[in-house]
Amino acid sequence: MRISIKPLFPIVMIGGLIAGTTACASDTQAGTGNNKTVTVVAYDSFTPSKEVLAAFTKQSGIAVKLITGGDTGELVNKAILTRDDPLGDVLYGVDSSFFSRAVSEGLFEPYQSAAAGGINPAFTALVPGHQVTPVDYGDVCINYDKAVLVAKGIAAPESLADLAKPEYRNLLVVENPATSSPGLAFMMASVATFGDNGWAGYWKKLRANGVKVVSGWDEAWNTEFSAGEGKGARPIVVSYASSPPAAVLYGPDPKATETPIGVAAATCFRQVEFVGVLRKAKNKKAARAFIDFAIGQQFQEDLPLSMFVFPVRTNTKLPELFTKFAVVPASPLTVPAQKISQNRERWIDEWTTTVLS
Amino acid sequence: MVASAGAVSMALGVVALFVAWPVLRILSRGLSAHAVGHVFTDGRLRAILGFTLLQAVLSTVGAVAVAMPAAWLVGRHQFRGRRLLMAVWVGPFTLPTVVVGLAARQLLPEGLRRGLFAIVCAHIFFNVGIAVRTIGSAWSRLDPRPEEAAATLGATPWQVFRLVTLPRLAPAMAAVAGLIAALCLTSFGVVLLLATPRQSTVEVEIWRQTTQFLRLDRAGALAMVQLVLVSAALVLTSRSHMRTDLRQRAVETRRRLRSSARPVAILVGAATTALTVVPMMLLMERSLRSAQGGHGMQAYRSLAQVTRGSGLVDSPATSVAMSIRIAIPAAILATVLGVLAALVVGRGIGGPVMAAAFGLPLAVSAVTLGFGFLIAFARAPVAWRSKSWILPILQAVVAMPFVQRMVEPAVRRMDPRLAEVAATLGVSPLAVWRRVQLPILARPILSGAGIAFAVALGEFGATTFLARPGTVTMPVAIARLAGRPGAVLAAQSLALAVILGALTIMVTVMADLAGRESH
Repeated sequence: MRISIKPLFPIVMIGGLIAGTTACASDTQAGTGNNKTVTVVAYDSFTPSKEVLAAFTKQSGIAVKLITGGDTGELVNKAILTRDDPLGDVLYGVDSSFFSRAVSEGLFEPYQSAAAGGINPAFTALVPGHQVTPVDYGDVCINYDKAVLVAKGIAAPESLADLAKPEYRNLLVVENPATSSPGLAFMMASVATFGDNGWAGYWKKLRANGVKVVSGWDEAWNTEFSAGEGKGARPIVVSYASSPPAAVLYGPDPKATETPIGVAAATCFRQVEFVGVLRKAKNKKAARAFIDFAIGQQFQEDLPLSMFVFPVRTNTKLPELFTKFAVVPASPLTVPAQKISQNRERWIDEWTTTVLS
Repeated sequence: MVASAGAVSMALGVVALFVAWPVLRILSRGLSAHAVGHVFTDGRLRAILGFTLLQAVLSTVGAVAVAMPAAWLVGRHQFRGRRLLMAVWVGPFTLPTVVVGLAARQLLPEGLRRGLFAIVCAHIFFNVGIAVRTIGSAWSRLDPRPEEAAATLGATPWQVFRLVTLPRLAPAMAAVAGLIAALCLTSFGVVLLLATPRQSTVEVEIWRQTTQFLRLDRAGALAMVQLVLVSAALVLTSRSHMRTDLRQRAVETRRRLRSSARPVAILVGAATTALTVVPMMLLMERSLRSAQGGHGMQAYRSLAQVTRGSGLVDSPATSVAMSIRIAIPAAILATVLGVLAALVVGRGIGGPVMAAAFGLPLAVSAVTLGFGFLIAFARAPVAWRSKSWILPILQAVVAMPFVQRMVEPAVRRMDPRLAEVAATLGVSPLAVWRRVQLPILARPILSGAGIAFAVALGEFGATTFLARPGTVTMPVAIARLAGRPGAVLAAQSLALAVILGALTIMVTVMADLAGRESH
């Protein structure tokens, strides 16, 4: 080649210069171990109110940095991959489904917060050895469009078994457990209800009854669900116990006194979320202070309206929107974390074979 | 020569450091011969492989075929609004897949809304603009005289096209087909959204095995298979590209539309525009619906407010500034790297190996790259993963191949003697670049920079894995707003998508216009 590429150097220099200056202008101090900052690693919908985080900084003198991204599975697997050089100090949001894997990988340093006494003992009992601290919970439940069911003259479904009955033919839309966390929770609700030997049979019946499978919640709600934004064709959907209040708040009339969406309480599967100090964290003291704050009253009261989950602290006042429209099932379905961890992938494979092939 | 070697090795170094190294790091965690064997023996994975290839081939052939009439229109003819049309056609290229999925479901007949047909349609919608640009540009440089001669000798228009025009367009078609095939082979969002739950592609499966199961052995094996497939597509098309470009002219020959051709031209322009614009119009209409019924600017006005519990800590409007702030340095860097790559590959330096090396960013799965960054840049001396400049770099390497493909044809056309003559006359290399080479390459470089900016704006996959404090970009914000119930948030999500689409078109048009002026 006879032409020199030397003339390109000006561009290279200018490009590098501009890229460099833009970058340096906003460089951050992430990962310094001064205990003046706590870096919280969380899933992408971790969105506490700014005022609440500001209150923490004011009380403790510790600034909060959020690193969010992905769903819970991705969050945990990312944390496991970066175990020796963690992305932050605190992991927020590992749930019952991924809890066992995270603990067995030695992700956390045990911490018993002095404030943990305020947490409902049913939740603290889930964690042996204070590896992590329960911080919020939510339920994945069957939601239905009241008006459509009334118009069709069908009673609202009350149990999982109901959904396999002929009157609910072609009415249900669910998320694929392989690609969606509410989908996974709903599959586990069937395991909890029908047991190891019965759940696959239940799905065979659902399939014969015309269940529709979509890849994620977004699509199920916004496209397929008749009470969602897309005014779809299916009046029964797998969503959350807190979906009715959210639908009212962001609906046409935030002051509505009625919600068009019902929740079948007996179908609810509980997901408890935990917060923990990462074993190789640089700011462990700050991490512990953040956990104390997260299970304190102010943060807990903020949870429902900022993240649509429920507080684990007993006697936390729920906003009116939640007392009016949300459902808190008396005895939600659960599967022990250990069992989930051992079987999740096998269940998903079996589900795929039963429902999709 | 030392300097040129330096520039080339710098570009290669960036690719090696920011693509090859993180990918190797993640592959080394789990890849084994056993796992690779598994891909070909496991029935489900084999089916996934088959479906991946099938949809990619159909999408590529479809996009190129649909682009041909439009390429004829803009390549052969000079008319007002030509550049605007071309820019509008590229508009869908960066639209978030959430939006495309929505449009597909609204526009396609029931029963065809999911599955192979829907996926192929979406891929055509995405890529037709790029195909028109590349093929149209080649068409405008074809010497029209052979066609005229053939017609005079009594060939029918179809014969002229098939025997005279098509063979000369083939290199450009192959080049852009390679790019589109690479994009379709690694397409993630469209497949996740439009596939039936039974269908899956290699890219989706890599994501699933990595993020959901942490089975790095299988993910690694699939990533290797994908790497081989995409590299093969790129090398094949790059070679066919190389063969015949010499026959092209450096000058564009476009004519005014003959009145006899006008009805066809209008039909072609209208059809291509409808294909790309109707889904966007639909999106715009939906973003203007107010929660109370009727239409209004409500969703747009509310973008500047912080909505508690909306899935975003800040207002959606801040994501616009964030996206732009990251995309500008990313586009600049991508342009520099892409031009270097084009000079190297365009002049045939290093042969197919070099072409494959610079195509690497296209072949790597976003998940693999994102997770690779997390572990490769964790420790000193390269503890870079939480630096603010890492996101622009990541997006730059992703956008680089697009710039390369825009600039490469012009490099091939450049007569090396021009620079030699100038050099012999004692002109300094800097001046040769500025006065001789730059004017020839200016327009494709600016076009490439525009595309790079758009790609950086729309990049979703890898960006989400490297999320740092306060780096919610527009595609991320759009996805989050769509992830909560309520008409208000859905409308905000669509409004933001419209802004992203508009921004993309604007930048592409501006880059084109700037290119024309400096010519």
